Amino acid sequence: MRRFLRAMLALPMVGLPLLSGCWDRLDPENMAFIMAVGVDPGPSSNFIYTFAVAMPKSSNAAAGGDSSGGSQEQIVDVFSQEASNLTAALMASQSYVARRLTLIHSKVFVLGESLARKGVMPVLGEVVRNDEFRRTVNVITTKGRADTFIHSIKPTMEKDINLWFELELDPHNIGAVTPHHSRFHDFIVDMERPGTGATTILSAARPDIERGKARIADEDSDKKASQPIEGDQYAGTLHRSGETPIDFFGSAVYRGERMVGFLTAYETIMMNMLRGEFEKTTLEFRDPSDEKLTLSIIMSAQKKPDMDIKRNKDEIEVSFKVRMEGDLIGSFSKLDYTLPQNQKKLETSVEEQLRDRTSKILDKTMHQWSTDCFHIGNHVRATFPTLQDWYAFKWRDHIKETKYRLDIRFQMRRHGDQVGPAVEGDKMNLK
Amino acid sequence: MNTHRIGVRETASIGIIFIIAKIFLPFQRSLAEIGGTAAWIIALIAAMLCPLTWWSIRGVLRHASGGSTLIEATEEIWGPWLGTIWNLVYFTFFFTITFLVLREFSELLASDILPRTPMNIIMIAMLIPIAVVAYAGLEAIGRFCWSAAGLIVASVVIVLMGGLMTHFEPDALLPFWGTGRSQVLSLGLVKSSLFSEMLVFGFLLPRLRKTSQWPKAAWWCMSVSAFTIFITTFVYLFVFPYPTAIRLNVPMFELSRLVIFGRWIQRLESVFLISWLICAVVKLAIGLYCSAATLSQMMKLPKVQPVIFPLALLVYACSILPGSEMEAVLWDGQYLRTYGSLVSIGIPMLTWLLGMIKSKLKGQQT
Repeated sequence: MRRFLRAMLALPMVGLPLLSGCWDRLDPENMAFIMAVGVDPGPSSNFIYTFAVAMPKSSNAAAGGDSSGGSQEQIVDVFSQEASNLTAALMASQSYVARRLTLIHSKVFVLGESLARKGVMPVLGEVVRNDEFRRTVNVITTKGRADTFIHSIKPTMEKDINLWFELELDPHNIGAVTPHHSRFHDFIVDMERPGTGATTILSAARPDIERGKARIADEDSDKKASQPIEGDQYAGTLHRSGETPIDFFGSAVYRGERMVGFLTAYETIMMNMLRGEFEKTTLEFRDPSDEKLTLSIIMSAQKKPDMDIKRNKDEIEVSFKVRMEGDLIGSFSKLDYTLPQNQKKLETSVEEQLRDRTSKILDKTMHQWSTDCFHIGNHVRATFPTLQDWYAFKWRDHIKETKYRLDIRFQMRRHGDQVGPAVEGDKMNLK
Repeated sequence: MNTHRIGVRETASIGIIFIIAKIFLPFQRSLAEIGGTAAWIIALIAAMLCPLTWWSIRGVLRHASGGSTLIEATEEIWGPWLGTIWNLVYFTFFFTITFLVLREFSELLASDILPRTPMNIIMIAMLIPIAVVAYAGLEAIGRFCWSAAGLIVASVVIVLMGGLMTHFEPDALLPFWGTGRSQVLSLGLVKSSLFSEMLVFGFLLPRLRKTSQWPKAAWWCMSVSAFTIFITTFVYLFVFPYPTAIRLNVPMFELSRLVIFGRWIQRLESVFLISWLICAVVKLAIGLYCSAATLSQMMKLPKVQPVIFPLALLVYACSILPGSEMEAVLWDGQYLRTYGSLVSIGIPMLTWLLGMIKSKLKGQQT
């Protein structure tokens, strides 16, 4: 009897901990998973939040059965809400969204261009406190409005919006044309440090592509024009037609909390190179045998670059030592770059072009925009004994006068599946 | 009365879990707030002062009757009145650790994991297994700790490595002296309270079979605890560099949330939470057991068990005293982790000193 009574007493004690999960049960069928959040300035010192919610497959199947005319299956549901902060926007949105909105699977945080130029710290500071918001979310700055960008999320090859985002935002996957680290964590860490230039992926909506109006120009009218280098463009200006009406190309640079400008894809790759975050990718260069032609090299870093800082009171000099290697993968030239003398010529030309490009991006970001995108400040900080001394130095005010030196070397390793150039039979000369 | 014995591994594991459970609370953030980039130096200095607790407890136990716990030895050396006062201080110390840590862990669960669950349900759901484990006795606690310690330390190491591979800031520990040399050095002395939980050895050492096992258990505990506390602070600064380091609510949890390798390895925090909650429950069980053991020995009760459940109720009542999460963290940082070393080092040292004097006087008389 005593044992029975003890067992009965033990039941509520054992049962209560097991019931503690009831309040926070998450039923996926009742949830609306927000994939992307976009922010634009609102009319009354507030904001307009645009949400892209993953369309549940059951709803899609029901909708697909009724549609006719072969319209594209909708994989995201987009709506906008005006509010002072994200939590208020979610609360207000709940009044017309049946499922419970949740940020636990969000992939992207999109900042509209006008908001980015005004200052993003109020938005970030509010969002970072949210317990559902993860610091691994990617941050994108879009040209134009964020709601336009989110409305343009219409993948053509993917039905899984989660997969599409993960593939599009992985720099390893998309040819390294975006900053290697563009997550919220990297963004806010850079923003919170004095002088550092936070960077995000740059994107743009392409309404011309969506309307089918984009046309690549016909046969060149100017036969004397040099071949353009594709990497020297920004998102939104790529000459293309078809596919998803969104470009991810290049980066947006911030000085403090305000966006100060854009970098092209090529400049972004150079930035990644100097930061030690170079992802193997294809780079185009001017052909040393004919400046009008380009050649492509699959480039990779031999090792992480060395950055050395010399500080003499307020004068700072930074030197970068970069070692790159690559495989020649595309060339229009009639010159055989596999021959030693031509290989040397190519390597020297590539080194010069890399030096020229990195000088330009250093001048643009440090001397023109006064922003440190290369984490030079981390090394400068090491020369101070205490944090108080470092903050008193005011690194931002010294960026413009910072001198730099570049030591860039390139080695060609391989030449693809062709040894010499392809030559028309009638023009071949055997000597 | 049958005194249950425990081995060296169980003893060391109890000490390790009792000390390192604080790494899942905002302890790294509080070190970064006061030390800046030199928070790791504070942790290092605190670890170097940790053996003082061990030596003073050993000294106290050596100058008392064989098999006495710290509580019995304190009363024997100081006498019934002063001894009881010091024992009350010990009781307050263990009790404060228990209810404050219960509150902090419950706040962590309420803010990030179970936001819709009422706080009292979370606390009761934790308190029930804590009370049951404490009721089972020191031997059961020791075996449980031995089986869980490896899992907990391994999960911490995996999270740290994952965090470093996801985001690593070079030169994150510079400037070397952080907020200032004198501040860092002095706070290192004050924050020796981080290892105050070593006081549990006052209950554990008499349970070991041989006196020769005491140093082995103590040094294993101190080494692993010091390493864990130091390495979590060290790595935290690399993954969340200053000033981001001073803004996060729960550093280890945020670190685990940050871990991401491609598409397949991400969102691992729920996996680690299991082992961390086990660590929290075990720590609180040890704290409750120590509080109950102190009280029962002060009152000369033959058993600890009758006091466990009433004390558990008292822990629940006191854990709702802080008005908010910020107040609970403030009490922990400003009082427990500032003055804790006075209890864990100061009182045992004084007791040891008095014990030595009394032994010498007794020796002279005979």
